[in-house]
Amino acid sequence: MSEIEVEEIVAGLKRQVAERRLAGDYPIGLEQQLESEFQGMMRAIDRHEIDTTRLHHLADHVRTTAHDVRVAGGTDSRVPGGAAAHSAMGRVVQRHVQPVAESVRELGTSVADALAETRRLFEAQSTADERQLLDAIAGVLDRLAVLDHLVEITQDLEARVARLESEPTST
Amino acid sequence: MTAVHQIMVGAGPGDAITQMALDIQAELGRRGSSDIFARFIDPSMAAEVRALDHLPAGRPSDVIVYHSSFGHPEITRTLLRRPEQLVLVYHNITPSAFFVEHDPAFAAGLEWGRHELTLLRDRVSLTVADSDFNANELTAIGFHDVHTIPAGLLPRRLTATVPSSSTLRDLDDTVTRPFVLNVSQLLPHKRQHVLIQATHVLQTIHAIDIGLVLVGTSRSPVYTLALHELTRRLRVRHVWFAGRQPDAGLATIYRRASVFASASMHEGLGIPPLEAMAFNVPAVVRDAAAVSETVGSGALVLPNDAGPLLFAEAIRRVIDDEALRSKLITRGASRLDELLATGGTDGLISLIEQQVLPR
Repeated sequence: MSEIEVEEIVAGLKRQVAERRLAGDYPIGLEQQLESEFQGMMRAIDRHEIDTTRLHHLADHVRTTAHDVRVAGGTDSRVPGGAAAHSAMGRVVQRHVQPVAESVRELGTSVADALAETRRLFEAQSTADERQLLDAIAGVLDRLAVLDHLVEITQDLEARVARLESEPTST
Repeated sequence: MTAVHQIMVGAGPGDAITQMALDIQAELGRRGSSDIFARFIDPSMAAEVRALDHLPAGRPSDVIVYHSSFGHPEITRTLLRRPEQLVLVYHNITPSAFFVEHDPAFAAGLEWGRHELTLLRDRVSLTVADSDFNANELTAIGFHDVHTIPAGLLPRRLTATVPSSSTLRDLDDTVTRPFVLNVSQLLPHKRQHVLIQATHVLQTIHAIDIGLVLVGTSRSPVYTLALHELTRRLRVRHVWFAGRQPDAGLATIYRRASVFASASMHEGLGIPPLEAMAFNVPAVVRDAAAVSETVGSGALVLPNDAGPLLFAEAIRRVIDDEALRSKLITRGASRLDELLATGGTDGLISLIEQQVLPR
């Protein structure tokens, strides 16, 4: 496309944006608001206020580690008959250690569950805060709309008063 | 036999400069010994790219082609100490200001890259930039006889790729047609957040059921997380963060895209809009750095200060206005022909043969 064609199209698009602004489709300051909210998000993430990913990874790690707890050891031996001895001892030890390993696995699962629940609560709290904030903003916007309406009524009344005052009084 | 090796700081799949280096290597390999060396190599590239410390001993008659886009002192040291002739191919170094706040280490690498250029200035035998914008940057810091050649540029390389059924499934699961496509690493100066905001405007104010696909590796954890958070908070639907895509996946997404959009604030060349043109996808881009020069008359170029509202209007117009759409597609194809006629890799190799290699 020629430069002139592009300029015409872009000018048309800019007019469209201006018209939508006038019509109220695009609230005044929308772009600035979107950008400043995004920059706020970036700063919050940079300060690790939003990121719960690490908590998620920690919970996963605890779960995997706990799941991998084993009581059976190796039975290899260079001594003749050693492997059989190791195996026999292993069975004895395993009998005693098995319940401990089971407890460790259960503990690990509980810790992982607790971390996952903590993350869920953080996120739920964050969503709730956001919802409350949005509700509060909606309330403010409602009140602003009422004020706008009152301004319109006042202006209308002022115009009427001005008209009445300018009319010649009949005596 | 003369060896012509290429050096770059980092090499990874899907990276435009790596792709260019591979294409140049394919040509150089036919003429003699030619390998690619990098300081940082993605494991998946181990077969194609070798570690920098494996660079064999060279002779003054050999050549090193250095792709400059970032800085690393080890590379600088290597380049300054080696006996080979040096060909600098400048792909542009993003201004560090975009990264200082959230990724100071990356910003330092960029600053070093610019400093490195001044150290190499008197060492180079041949200087090539892949756009006039980049050539002007080099001239401004004292380089002479800078040649503009978009070497290794293959915008149509994916058009014959067989579609990927799994990517088609992913698209059907996540995105409603029509959808806007952006292909770029997820980085603050690429401004993918403006496209998310524009999609939000289109979905809520224009009431258009449109999707957004962001293809590209996450290079900044903070920015990537912020993009996801923004999508969630604005409740933007049908957004797919597709990550890095293999060629088949990328080609599938290009084929299905309704419009390509880029709000990037800085590009030294800008290959994805050209790839979109190769798939007959109209492109809407921001006028930033070398973008206008690259896309020429083949894309709708918005002013540098365009925000989400103007992007939303432009995207809607390109989707709705059939005449504009087909004009952009036709002009896009012509633009690719113009660019490819400039010689590309062959042009670079003939320059090396004429000006650097011994006769």
